[in-house]
Amino acid sequence: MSTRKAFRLLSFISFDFSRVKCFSKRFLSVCLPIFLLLSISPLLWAYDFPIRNPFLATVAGTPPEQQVKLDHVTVREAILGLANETVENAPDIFWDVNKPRFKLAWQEKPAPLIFIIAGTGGRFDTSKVEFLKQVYYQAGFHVIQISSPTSYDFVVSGSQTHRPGLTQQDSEDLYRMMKASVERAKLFTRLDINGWYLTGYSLGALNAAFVARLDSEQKAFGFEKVLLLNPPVNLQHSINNLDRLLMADVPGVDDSTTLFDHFFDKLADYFRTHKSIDLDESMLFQVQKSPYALSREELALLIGVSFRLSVASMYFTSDAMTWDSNLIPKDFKLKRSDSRTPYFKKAMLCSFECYVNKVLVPYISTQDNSVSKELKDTTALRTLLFKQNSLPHLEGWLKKARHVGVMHNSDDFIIDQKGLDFLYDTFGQRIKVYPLGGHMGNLQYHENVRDMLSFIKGKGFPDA
Amino acid sequence: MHRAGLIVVMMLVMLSQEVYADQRLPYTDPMQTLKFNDSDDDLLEDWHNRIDRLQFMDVYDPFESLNRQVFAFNRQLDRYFLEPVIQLYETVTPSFVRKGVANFFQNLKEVPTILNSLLQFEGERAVKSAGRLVINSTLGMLGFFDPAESMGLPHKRNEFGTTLAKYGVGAGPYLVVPVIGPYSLRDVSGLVVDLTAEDSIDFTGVPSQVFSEPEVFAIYGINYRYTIPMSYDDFSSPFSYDLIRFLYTRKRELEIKVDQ
Repeated sequence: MSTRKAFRLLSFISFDFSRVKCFSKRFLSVCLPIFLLLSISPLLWAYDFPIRNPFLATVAGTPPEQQVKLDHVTVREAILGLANETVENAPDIFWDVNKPRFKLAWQEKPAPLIFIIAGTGGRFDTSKVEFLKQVYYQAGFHVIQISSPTSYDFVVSGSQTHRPGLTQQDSEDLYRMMKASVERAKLFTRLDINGWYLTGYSLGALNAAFVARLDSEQKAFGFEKVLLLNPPVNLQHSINNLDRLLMADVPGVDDSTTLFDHFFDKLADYFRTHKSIDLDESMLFQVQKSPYALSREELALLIGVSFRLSVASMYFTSDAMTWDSNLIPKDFKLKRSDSRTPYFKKAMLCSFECYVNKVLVPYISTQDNSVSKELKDTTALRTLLFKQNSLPHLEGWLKKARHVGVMHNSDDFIIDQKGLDFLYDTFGQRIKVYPLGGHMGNLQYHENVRDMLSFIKGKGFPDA
Repeated sequence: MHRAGLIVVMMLVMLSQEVYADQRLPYTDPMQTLKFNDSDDDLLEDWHNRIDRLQFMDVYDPFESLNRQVFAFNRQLDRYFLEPVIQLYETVTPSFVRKGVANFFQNLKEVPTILNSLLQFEGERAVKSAGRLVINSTLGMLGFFDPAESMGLPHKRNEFGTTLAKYGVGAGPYLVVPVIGPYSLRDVSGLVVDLTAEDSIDFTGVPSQVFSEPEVFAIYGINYRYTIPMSYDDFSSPFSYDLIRFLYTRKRELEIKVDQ
């Protein structure tokens, strides 16, 4: 129920109660509890997302029963490659990603086109992007799905420096890819495009903001609406929190081996009592109702491990492309038959912060620009890097960019109070914050999808 | 009386302001609800530096170099041949046909399942599978439908690999088999035994044709790929070999552990 509807109902009920005479004698016993109840109820009525634990929401998403019901429409879609942009000097082990690829879903009539940018480490067809594609395709959009600049394929063939993580630079790469994708799509099929839109989630939302700013200068598209879903605000804070999740205290778990053994045993116990192994969407919710439910710390660890895996993939790929030689010895040509396990292990030990220190800071220092000359001190340089590549860097522009909106959750661990305040101050009427959902856990919730479409279609957020 | 009414009105006004004027939700910090090992950065470093404790990734894989080459071959085969074929299969056949084909081949697997359940002294499972086989082969029109499932007898496969495991045979080296993918030596041997059993106890007259008639074999192969719910591209990582090796090994361990 929307806040407004809840309020209408609320004022009606309270009016009724005022006629039941709230006298001072009965005030404390009857009326005060009623008022207390009424004053908190709009918050409860406003949003019925069923998962209260932000870590569970992040890991398991929206329970199938509460997900938006999408019709079964046949999506006309294809994965297309950009042959002109093939990276010639990529090591042989990257044979599968040396040509940039994207995914196109097209309508057979004139329609607006929306770009979707994936989150950290995500390829163009990762499940959240696929879901957003379904939503927008059904709403009548052509859709182009773009990999995150931090994903394996983009590091090899999308990024010009092969060192992702600097939002400004990444958004220039994305912008180039987006333009090339549209050209390629038009060669592939007859595309009648009558409007441009952009969205992204998590790190992809931060990228989308920078791309939108770039487009406001270069005007290749002229976006009508840009929607950011759960972007990090202060990048340094987000990354610190994600790195820190691996330090969550689970009894008996003090390293990755005991960690995996721990989850394995727990899962085995659960399956044994349930006599079957069904790994489907609702399994995690079932587990959480059983005696083998995962604690908040265990869930946090899972998120931390999965984030670390993305960082490790990015770090290794970058190292193999650039010969930075943090992992692979200089000029050692890895072949398809060579074991990558030792590099995998080494890369898994590197947090995002470590990646910034080992890859990005040295790279910026070698660049011949005024920034590095002034700042020989690495800590100061690092702080500056984060600042220049975070959302507040665009504050002035965002305040005026009436076509850019944001959706976020007030229990998302990638932001903090300061970040949330920044979003409220900057976006004004163009923000929608939900009290629950963790990081991206409520993406598929029916109300979120309704609000997303409402903003993109120019009707604003229902309650804003 | 009037005063009380006034209070009510004032409270209503306050209430309405709370809903309208102050719509900002406060931030609730999930990080503060977590218990952390230690906030000491030195300890964090220590955790990171214990490289020897990443042994969870180690799987007995003496043929790794060959395996990795076959793995790359399988990926290419999947991307350029099998996935397009499956896409075509999904476009040209309605879903009930695909379901029927999948049921049909699944029904044939009941034969090795019964044998293995007997070898493992799992009488109940053997009886259930035999029940499924009889019901689905008759009522289910030679297995194209699965009425047994709605009667409370869901499909639960049993393999010779599992039988061997229960008799104490270890998994042996990890193998990436051309076309069909990750296996342990034990489980791929089990697969050969199961297929032979399926083939020789040939009650529908189909299994013996699978390998001799190219058309039947093609349908068998297409269905086999169709029923695997994953693709190599699901692991968009330079470490997909390691990840799949780890997950396959753990999944088999889990299946065997749960069965006991």
